[in-house]
Amino acid sequence: MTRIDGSFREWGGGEEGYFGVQPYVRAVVELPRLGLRHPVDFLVDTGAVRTTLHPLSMTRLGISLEDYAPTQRSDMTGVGGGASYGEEEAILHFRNAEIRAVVLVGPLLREQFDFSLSSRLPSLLGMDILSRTRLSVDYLANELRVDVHTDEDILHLQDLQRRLSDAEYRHYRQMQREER
Amino acid sequence: MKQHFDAHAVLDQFDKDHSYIESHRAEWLEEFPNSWVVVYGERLVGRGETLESALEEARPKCAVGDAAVEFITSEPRNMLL
Repeated sequence: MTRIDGSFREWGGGEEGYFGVQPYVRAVVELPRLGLRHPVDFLVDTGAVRTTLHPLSMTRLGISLEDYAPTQRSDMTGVGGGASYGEEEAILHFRNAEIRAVVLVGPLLREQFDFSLSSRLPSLLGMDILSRTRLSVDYLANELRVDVHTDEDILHLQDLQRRLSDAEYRHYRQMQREER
Repeated sequence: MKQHFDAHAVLDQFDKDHSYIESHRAEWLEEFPNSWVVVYGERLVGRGETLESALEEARPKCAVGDAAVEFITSEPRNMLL
């Protein structure tokens, strides 16, 4: 496994008077089809099915909604409603690991959103990538660890899942945790 | 585009630029609240009331894709994603 260290960012205040912290990890995102790459702060979001580059990242990358022509689109649903996103093959370069994934880029229709507000939406590190990791969050210790399984680890665990019963597999994983 | 690049170097600079924003946040909040700022090379290279105007100012001075960009406000919007 390879460890990626994340950090917490404070947010809140204003009239609501509410303060909290959100977990972030930082990566250089490369989009080979578009010949683009740049560093991105991702909010670690276990509620997001897919890793998503939101408008601030699009703007910094120089992707204009008018000119952007994705080869694939996906319709996604969130608490704010539905939206269409482009799909792009990407390489996420973390400090100690590199992950290939198909990320979402969007939303594609500017009129669906107040752009001045959606610019402030963070990009999201979703479950498509987090499911390849062991995620450990300790707010009080201000510690966020994302341990990335290697491809060999994942193949090994998938093989065990196929061969063992659910109870045996859970026992195996429990033993591994205790060893750590 | 270069085939190989130093992700560590890009992330190191990005870290420094974000730290620069943090160290100036209180001062900028006084000077220009509710503005976008663009920082690269630990320098403020763009500022504007809209993201586009801040990036426009920064573009001749740096590769904005590598810059740290943030909205400076005392009233952050709570978001439910």
